Amino acid sequence: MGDPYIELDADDLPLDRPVRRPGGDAGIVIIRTDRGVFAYEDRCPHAGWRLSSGDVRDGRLECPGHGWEFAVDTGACTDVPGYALCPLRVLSAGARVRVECPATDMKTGIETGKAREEEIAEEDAAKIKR
Amino acid sequence: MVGLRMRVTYYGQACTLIEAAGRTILTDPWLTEGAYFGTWYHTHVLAEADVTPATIRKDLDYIFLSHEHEDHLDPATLRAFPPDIPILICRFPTPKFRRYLESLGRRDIRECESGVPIDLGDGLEVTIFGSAQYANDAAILVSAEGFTVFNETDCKLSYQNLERLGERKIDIGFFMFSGANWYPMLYDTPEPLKIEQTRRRRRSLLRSFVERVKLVRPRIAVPAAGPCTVLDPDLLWLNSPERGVFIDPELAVAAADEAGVPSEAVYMRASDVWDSATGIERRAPAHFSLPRQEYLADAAARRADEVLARRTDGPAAQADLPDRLARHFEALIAAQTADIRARIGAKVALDITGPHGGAWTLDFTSATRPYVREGLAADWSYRVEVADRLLYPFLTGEAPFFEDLFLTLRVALARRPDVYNEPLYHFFYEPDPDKLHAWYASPR
Repeated sequence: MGDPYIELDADDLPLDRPVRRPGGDAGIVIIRTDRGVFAYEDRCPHAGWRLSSGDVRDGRLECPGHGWEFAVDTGACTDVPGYALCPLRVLSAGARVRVECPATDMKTGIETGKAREEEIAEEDAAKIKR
Repeated sequence: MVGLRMRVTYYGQACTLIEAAGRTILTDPWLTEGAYFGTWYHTHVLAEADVTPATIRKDLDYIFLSHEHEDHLDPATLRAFPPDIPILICRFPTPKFRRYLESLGRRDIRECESGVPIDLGDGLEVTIFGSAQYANDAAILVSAEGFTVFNETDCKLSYQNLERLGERKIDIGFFMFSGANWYPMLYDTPEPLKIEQTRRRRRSLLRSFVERVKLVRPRIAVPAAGPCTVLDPDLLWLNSPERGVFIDPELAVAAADEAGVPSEAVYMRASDVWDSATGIERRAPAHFSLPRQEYLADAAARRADEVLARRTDGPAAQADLPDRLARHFEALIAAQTADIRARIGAKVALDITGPHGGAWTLDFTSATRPYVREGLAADWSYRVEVADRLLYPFLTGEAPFFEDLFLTLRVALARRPDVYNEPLYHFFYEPDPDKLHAWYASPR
């Protein structure tokens, strides 16, 4: 079983830049906008791409795979009606943000492992540096 | 060819001749011009490199065909090859593609499970990957002699499959990099909005190319499948970077370089060769290296007579068009489940011009038959304006794939509201009731 939630400081989240965190089978994408912090499973419903590698523009998160766009605040696909990201509950208390994790598949949890967690942390660090 | 070596000759779009282990595989041979009723030409006219169905080598061991689009499976090209050459295809959810190949006289069709490697002997291993989309499409990975080539064709693979490919130490990969359809060009969107939609589409296509190269990590990445070049004088505007989504390969190479992909991005022109021993051999004619717009203007002038002849060489529509249209669409719509009709939920206005033209509405919202009615519904949600002679072969079965009507780029489209209706597109692509039902019944 993975952690039921992750906690982080909102100040550590860059504005309008998706950040990936481990959690569930697919990982979690967290986006801070001027309207709040939003979190989803990090998997595009179209072909499974990681949204955390995408761009945020005008309140929409663009999948790097094929350009599908999703409203950051609702997760609804704005290009293809009927598709949406899988939302995760976000609780904010002052500067602290708690994101509820989706259920973890035990096998995937083992496969991602510590090395992958470090890789994710490095990716995030690089993203924040940019 | 002797020793451990692989050679890949590029013939435009997704066509590659792969030679290794004393074997040959040809992928997606489209070696004529003027696909889709005369509209689609290669990035460079192949005949100008002396590449034609007549000149291509015929002693192949296998032909791989990704899907039925004419710029990948050209019946005229395929007829040039002996009917017994084994054809490798992906096993798709329906037999549509296999049956089409059978109808073209192919006698040895081998369906391969997606993602499962096949040992073809002499150390030659092939893996075919199926698309993550509703539309049939496939990519191919070939390993031999210690070398590996990947040809994505214009197949949209799942992220998971692309990640798997990234572990295969691919030497050279051919990737889609351009739009290959009619959005947004053919819609009646106001010009400024259309230009913005085009800009956005091109940006996302180039981004996608870069991201796929990053995932697959071949040593050499070649922008290959996707674009159409239009040489019809009335449609030259489709080649414009501002108004069309058909991208210059040069821009894809530049995008890859700018993004710092872990591959060397290389623009291969038709008839260029990659050899594992010697690298890239530039064999394409010198004028294929002209700046894109210059080449286009010259080619349009050189091919003008041929282009105009293609425009007028099709048969005219017949007086039974209205009956055929009503019967064709009524049967297809009635065969769907109520759930699928509701998902499509469209009123499609067919505004058909020409001597046997008229107006019809395909009403997917109707609770009862008939679903096809004469006249344009005032509240249509999707509108197609098309010439009778262009539509007619799709009603007789002579043109078996209705989506091709859009790919001719010779229709005018509108939608209200201006939103993509995916179930309607899927219906046009393959209206198989079981496939449509299964697609929307499965979670995604």
